[in-house]
Amino acid sequence: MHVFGGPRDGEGIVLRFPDGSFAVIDSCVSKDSNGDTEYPILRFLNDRNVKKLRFVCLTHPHADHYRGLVKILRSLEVQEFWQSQALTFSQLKSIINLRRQRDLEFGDYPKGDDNDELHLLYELLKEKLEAANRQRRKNGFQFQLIGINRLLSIHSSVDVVALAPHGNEVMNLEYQLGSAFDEDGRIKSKFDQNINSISCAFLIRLPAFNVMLGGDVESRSWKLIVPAIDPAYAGRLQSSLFKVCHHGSDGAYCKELEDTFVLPDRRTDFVVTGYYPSKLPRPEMIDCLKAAAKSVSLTHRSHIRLESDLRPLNSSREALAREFGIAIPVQQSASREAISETFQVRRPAVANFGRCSFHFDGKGNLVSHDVSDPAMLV
Amino acid sequence: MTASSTIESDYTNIPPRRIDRFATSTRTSGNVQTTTETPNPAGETENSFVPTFNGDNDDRSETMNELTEAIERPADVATFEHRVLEYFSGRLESIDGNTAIVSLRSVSGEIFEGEYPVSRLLELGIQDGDPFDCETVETPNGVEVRISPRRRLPLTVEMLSRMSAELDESLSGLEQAFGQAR
Repeated sequence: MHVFGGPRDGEGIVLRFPDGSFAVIDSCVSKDSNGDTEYPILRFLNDRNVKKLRFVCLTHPHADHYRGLVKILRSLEVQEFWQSQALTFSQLKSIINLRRQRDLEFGDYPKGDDNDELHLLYELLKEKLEAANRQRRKNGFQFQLIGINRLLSIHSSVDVVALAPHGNEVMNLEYQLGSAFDEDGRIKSKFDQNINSISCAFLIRLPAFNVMLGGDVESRSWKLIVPAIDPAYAGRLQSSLFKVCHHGSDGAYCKELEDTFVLPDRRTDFVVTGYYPSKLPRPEMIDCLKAAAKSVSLTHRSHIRLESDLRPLNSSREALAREFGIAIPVQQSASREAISETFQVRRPAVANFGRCSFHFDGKGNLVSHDVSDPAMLV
Repeated sequence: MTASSTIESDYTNIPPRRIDRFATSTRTSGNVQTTTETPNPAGETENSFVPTFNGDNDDRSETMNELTEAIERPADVATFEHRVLEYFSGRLESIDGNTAIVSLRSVSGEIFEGEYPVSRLLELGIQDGDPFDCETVETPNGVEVRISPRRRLPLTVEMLSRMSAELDESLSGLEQAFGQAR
């Protein structure tokens, strides 16, 4: 399993199953110093000559999880698209509408922004489904709606148990979206449903071990989910690897999670993807995880400042940096600046992204654990 | 704005913003001052002047008098030279206690992230998730950072209907696929 994360650009996970097939859960993008969009997950897959994905999953419709999925779906052959069952056609339309109204109020529409990418994603899915329906091929492109206790088989030795969303959260979203608009279709009140509550979460079960992927589900939802897990799965829930929920926020971890999914005697490895705009992960949460973990990996340094570059450091940038507490990088020398400008020196692409990779053998032993800069073990 | 105007023209016709607005507060940090502008209930800054003509001669005369007065009135901040150094499109990304996490996108696309007192943004009517305008302005007293809320456009029924119809059209057929997947 390969977990990607950047300070503000979200998270994505690449899974490689024992039969050699790949799958992607969520996606993220970054901009290099020239403003060009980088697709770290697609680049990773291209480097490994991956042409086909068993499935692509969007856990929930937040931009830090869906940015870049359109590019992946256009570039690779994808067998299945998985998404939260809370995201029905009507809910999807309402969510796009809510965000678009806000953008429109501020004169930002349409600009190919994050909301537009969600719209583009579903236009593309529609095209794929129409093509699949026309061809009526066996094993053509399929759509899977994910909800608690759904079992999805990957192949004979691997299955995936969906742990979330819980039905109550699905209904909460439906109710809130249903009452969010007036009769003209205008937002009538601030919409405060927590979209994270309808995020997918998964337990991947292999013969000798499990991997827990917590999505962005928070502790309030886990208190509902844990008692509702089908007893047929009980006893096989503890996991060797745990992708911590919701970027290590205050609600990322709770007793219910630890008692159910974490191996005793600190035998579980944790991996956390941060999110700078919300100052995640919380340092207290990292301490909490460390107490239960064999190891805790971060995809990037907590609260890292983007290096982008108050350079050249003129009075305007200095004022901005002071006002908003932005770290001012060491001022480059005139010589370095001249070199940089003359030769169009680029920073390494996807420099802000970190990747934490975990490789298990057939017996469930962690045989390698790599963290690539700026990812780190804490 | 007419009922038949498109969504695009509704927002591209926003008049350019004035920069010589009335300053309601100034914050000094080193030799850096921050000026924030509080909008009045109509969403305009205090010395913004929006003449309205409704065909009534008396009203027009009164409006012209106000306009003349405004032109002749010494501007509060026009007594010194100032120059906008840079413009940034800001957004209140999230709120962490009393601290607002903000992002600032420069015209060339660079993104900076920083922090700011939540209360000062809320005073300006800038709420969680809202965009705002930010300028660095050179003044004789140093460089000021000016923050101002972005004006909200009223959404007409026609705009809302059009938006909904566009979504329906672009996603039509997907509903059936969702149904089949259940």
